[in-house]
Amino acid sequence: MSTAFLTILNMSIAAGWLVLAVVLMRFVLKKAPKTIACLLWALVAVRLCLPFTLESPVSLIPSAQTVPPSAVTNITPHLESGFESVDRFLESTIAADPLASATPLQIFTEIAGWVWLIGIIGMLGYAMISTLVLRRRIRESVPLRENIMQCDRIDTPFLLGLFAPRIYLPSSVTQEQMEHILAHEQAHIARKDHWWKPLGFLLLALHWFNPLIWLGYVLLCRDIEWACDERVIDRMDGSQRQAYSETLLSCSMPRRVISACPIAFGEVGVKDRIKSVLHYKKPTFWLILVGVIAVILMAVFFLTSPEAGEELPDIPVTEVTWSDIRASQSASSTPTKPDKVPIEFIEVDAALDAAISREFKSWGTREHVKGTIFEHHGVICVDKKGANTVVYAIGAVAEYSELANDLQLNNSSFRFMGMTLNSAYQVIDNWHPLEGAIEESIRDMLSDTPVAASAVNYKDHKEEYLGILQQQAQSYYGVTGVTANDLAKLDAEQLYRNAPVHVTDDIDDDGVIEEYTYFGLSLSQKYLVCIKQADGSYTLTLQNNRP
Amino acid sequence: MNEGRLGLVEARFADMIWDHEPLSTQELVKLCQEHLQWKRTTTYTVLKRLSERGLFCNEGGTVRALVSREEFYARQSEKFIEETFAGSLPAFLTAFASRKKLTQKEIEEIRKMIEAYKGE
Repeated sequence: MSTAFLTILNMSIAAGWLVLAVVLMRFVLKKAPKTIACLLWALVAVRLCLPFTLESPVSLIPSAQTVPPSAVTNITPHLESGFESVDRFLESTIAADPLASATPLQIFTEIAGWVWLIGIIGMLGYAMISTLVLRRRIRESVPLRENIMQCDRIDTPFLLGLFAPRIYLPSSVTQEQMEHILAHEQAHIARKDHWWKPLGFLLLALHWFNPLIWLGYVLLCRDIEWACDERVIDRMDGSQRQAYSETLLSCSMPRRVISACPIAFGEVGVKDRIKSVLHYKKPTFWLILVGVIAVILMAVFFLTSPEAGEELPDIPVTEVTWSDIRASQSASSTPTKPDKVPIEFIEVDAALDAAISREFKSWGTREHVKGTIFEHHGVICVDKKGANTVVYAIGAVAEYSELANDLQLNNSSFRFMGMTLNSAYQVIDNWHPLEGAIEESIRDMLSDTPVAASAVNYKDHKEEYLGILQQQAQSYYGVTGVTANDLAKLDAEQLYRNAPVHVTDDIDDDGVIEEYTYFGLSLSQKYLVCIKQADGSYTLTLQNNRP
Repeated sequence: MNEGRLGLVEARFADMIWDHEPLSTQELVKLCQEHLQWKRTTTYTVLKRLSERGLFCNEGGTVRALVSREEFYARQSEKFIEETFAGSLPAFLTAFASRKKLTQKEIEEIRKMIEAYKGE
């Protein structure tokens, strides 16, 4: 719901700009045929339906995506209205508390999405009900000829119906009035207005929250009527036009009504219409040409969207290490990348430290544990929030077992974590950076702490931490590394049977397929291979590379 | 009886009944469907309304006219003169004559009418 609403919102804002431009253009092209104005409204309709359009450098729309979807979940949301000052102002009001579970913008769009849906239902419901009520009233009408009906119970002529439109006339119209009215309504049918107006109303229902769209709809209705008037009086002389304006006068409706259908004869702007009718002059070819060119230009400038700004490439932290930076610094006199800030780890009390260890272990350990778990962490920042403590730390966990006087690494992990602990140092909340946007999310999360700049470099410590764990395992098991003697002490058959992985392949490229299994030995960086021979015996060998 | 005026549509409907009465409601519905493109419910609604105004009646499925067409329109004219000319026939005739030229024959007829009226 909120994503749909956001799409519509962005479309609405973009279309709003176009509406303003069209209002201006309508004023400029007052003397041009009103069909031009209707074409301009068609452009607005297009803008209101298409979420994405072609990008072009000449687009005059400030922004096609004022509220990007990413802004909703971002703690420091980034808006793109096209105006820096507006962006800054709004962004500061909607910036979020890093520890809240939802940003204010998220909450707002959720609620707004539902309110928007209710609005749509309200508008469509109103349109449906008023149409039904009208249809009820005109059941008592009699056919005059073709698709023309007469009715006692209506006070203004109108056009009703989508697929088989009918013209309804009040019984009180005179013969002369009838001629004018029929000509006008038939012009509506010829222009397919009985489709465009309801379509416009549907778009209005989707964008009901935008007052500019309401303005557009009202003006569209006027322009449609104007355009039909023009069609009718184009072939009339002066006195006939006078008669037509008299008909307009006698059929004008006293109240202002915004409706989807029907299209009523005396509905909108009667005074202006009469003025135009009396002052009508056939438009010249040049005027029409100017109008068409204006429409094309408006389409180019306003149907396209501004090109997305250039994005700075991410500097991948993991690929760059301290040695690389030092090397590049000595190689070039001016460093091209800014110096990286090293993390300054802080000490915490033993109880908190233990709780942090427990948390890292719970995340880093698999279900089936064969060996022993080792864990090491470093705390980057600690914050007291009332009774709770918020900790950001990096930690490594490794599961080692012993084999042949060497170590087998069964599982390892290295991660950055945030956690909230209560007064009893129990973890009540937990946070991990987003996969694929690790640096970004760490920066967002820690933006108002002094350690944000250094925290993003946490991967620099990966090798170090995993190394520490290996040393811990080594001292724990008291191993020194595999030797040939150690192999002799092993029971090859049992080793083979209990191995998790069995491979059937030509291990030594001699053309003979063997069955074997292998174990990685971390300390000596070798592989212990156990081959099942054809005669049922087992051999153990050491290899430097993985088979 | 306050029958009121008949609008164009009601007049067409009333004509339908006056032309064919007495007739069953089914026949009336069929006629209205054919000539006016009306639904059953519409026919019944208008019939009920005009019956309440005292023009027609629906007795057990048969529609009859309580007032004939001539009588109805005669009363209408009377009411018009009453309302517009405060019941003054001479005033009506003056207004009428000022718009149209009367033939000798018509003058005679009207004179006879006035005589008959004066006599009542």
